[in-house]
Amino acid sequence: MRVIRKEYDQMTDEQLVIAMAGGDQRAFDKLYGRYSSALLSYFMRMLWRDREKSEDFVHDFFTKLIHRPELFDTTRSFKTWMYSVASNMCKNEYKKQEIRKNTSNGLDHTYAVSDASKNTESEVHHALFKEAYNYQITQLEYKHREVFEMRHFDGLSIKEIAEALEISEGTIKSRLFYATKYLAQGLKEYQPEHTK
Amino acid sequence: MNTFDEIIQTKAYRDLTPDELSIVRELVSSEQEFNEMKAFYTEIGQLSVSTREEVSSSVKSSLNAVFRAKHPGIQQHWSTPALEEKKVAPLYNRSWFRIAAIFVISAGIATIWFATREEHFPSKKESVQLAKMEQTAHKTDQKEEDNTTSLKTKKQFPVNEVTSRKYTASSTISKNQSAEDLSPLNSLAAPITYLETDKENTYFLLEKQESTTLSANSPGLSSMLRAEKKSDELSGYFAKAGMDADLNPTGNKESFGRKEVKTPDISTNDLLSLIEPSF
Repeated sequence: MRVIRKEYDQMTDEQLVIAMAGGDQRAFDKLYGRYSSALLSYFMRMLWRDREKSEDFVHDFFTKLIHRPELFDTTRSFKTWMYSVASNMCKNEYKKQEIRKNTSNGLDHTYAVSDASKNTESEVHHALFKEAYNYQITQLEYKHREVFEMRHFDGLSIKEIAEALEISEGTIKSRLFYATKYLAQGLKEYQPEHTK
Repeated sequence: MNTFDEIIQTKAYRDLTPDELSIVRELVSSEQEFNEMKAFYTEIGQLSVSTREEVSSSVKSSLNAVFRAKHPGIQQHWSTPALEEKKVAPLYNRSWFRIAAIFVISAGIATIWFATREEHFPSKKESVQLAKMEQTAHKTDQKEEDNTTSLKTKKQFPVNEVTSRKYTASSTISKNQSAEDLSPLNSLAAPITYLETDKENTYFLLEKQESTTLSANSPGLSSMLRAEKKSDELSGYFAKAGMDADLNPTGNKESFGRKEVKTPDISTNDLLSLIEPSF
């Protein structure tokens, strides 16, 4: 069994997709384990932190991959291709629903309200920052928000973001600069230095 | 932007180089803004770690069912090799190559065998001719041998009844007979027979055989030519041997075989005319 596990660990994402297309269940399990959490986090951030909808989107993405693996171009990176498909899915969802800029407060209902009596000061500060961020990020345009979160939360480089969104690196840089400056300015009050 | 991220997260404002300072000033204008941006990056980093979500198990179960529906009959414990090397059979293992090699070798062996067979065993026609020529050559050799032996015993010797032979001679010369009793013989072209006659007198004559048609290619040709040459020499001797016999009754053995024989002053035609045939 160790030999088999080692083989799948050494296989690239593209090789796993090819094996999965051939009916290899283990290859699919390996690919799912690598990217299911990251994909869910992305959808959570992009879809107003709606967990149920985000898991549905994850299920839809892998179902599409099982039924039509030929949609994936093996010459491309699977990671960038996955984010490209996820971005299109979110854009389609935005088109179906109104963008609610005037939601109650943009807060994530799943976030537990920190109990000051039990948590330390840093933990309280962290919880407050998170809430403020969630609000501020919704104030950004989708194109800026997408680039910012793909850079800081999904760990993609400027080049990978440009490849996934099929736009130039210069545009990515300018969008990223704008989002960073806007959020830094908006969350200035929630800095640890300022909260002391 | 990567460079900006690295500078913000790793360096202090006072440690920035002029190039790094020019990059940072795209976002911040002072040291205070630089420090605020640095705090913002730290908070965002912590936020990204804390927002990691795990997918519920129901999603995975549902996806497994979808996969099994798409690929029925595939066992989960099978592993697909990443790469399969296509085995290329070597040339000598291919059936068509083996068949062609056997054919070529057989053709070569057959060609060599037939070629050597013709060298050792000539064609039928040639073999028949060869047989005939060998027969004639054998006969010539045999006669040559006979004549050789007869020439050796050219000198007169008493013949007893055992050794006496009766021949139908074309010409005989008796010791007691004079040359006048002898009938002339023909020229060298005519066959001259040397015979052993009565008991007391024996003279041997060589029968010359005409060499007529002989193939130049026959192996017996050389022996026949030799025989002919010898017979020519011997006939030359014997043509004069009769005369020698007349003039040299003792039969000087040494005179035989010498190429240059001293001849008497008597002409051959005169003597031949004296020899009468016995039949």
